[in-house]
Amino acid sequence: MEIATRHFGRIDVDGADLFVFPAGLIGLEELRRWVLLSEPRRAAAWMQSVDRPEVALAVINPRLFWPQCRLRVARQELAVLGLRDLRQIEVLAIVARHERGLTADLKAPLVFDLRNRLGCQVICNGEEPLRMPLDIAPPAVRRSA
Amino acid sequence: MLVLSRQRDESIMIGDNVVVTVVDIRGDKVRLGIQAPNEIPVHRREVYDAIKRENRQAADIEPADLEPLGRSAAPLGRRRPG
Repeated sequence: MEIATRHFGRIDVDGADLFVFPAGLIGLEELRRWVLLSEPRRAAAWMQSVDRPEVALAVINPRLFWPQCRLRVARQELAVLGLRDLRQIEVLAIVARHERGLTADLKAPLVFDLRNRLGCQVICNGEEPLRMPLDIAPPAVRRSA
Repeated sequence: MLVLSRQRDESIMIGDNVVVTVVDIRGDKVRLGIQAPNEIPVHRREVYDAIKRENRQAADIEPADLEPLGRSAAPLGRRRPG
């Protein structure tokens, strides 16, 4: 199917590219079908909504920015995925732009089940910040600079 | 909104399988115990609302906003067009 996106023009989305979030995102419950698009030359990607093509969220892999990052999530948060094998998951954090710059939401990351191509937004039960400042390059980039 | 009076150790049922129990009352603070099936996440309202606002704020981001992130070979997903 073809969708007219806000940032990337018209893109063709194959059913096999979709990630389905059965519960949507928090506050965006009706947005269930998404496709991940890599951002060329940036340590980020885009969660492009298929249901509402004008919506695209920037996401990062928090482990790239904070290698020590450990997110604590209650198992029932992952129930929608029916996960048995936690090696099959990818965790990404949503990036937001605020007046002081970019932040990553480590309180409510996105969990992807790569095998079944399902996803959900979870709420961590530790002290993870909702707005972790993101004004740093990932360590891999700093080393090569 | 339905309003019910409960004393300590009393409960209410929500549907067949959600039980909310008043565990303790001290001054203006009430401690609640919540028993719910695994598939029903339970959260404090203000946390949930803050995440909702953050998600909506995140939807305003533009590709140019990501320039401070620097370059990296860390592809996620399929390459975006353009």
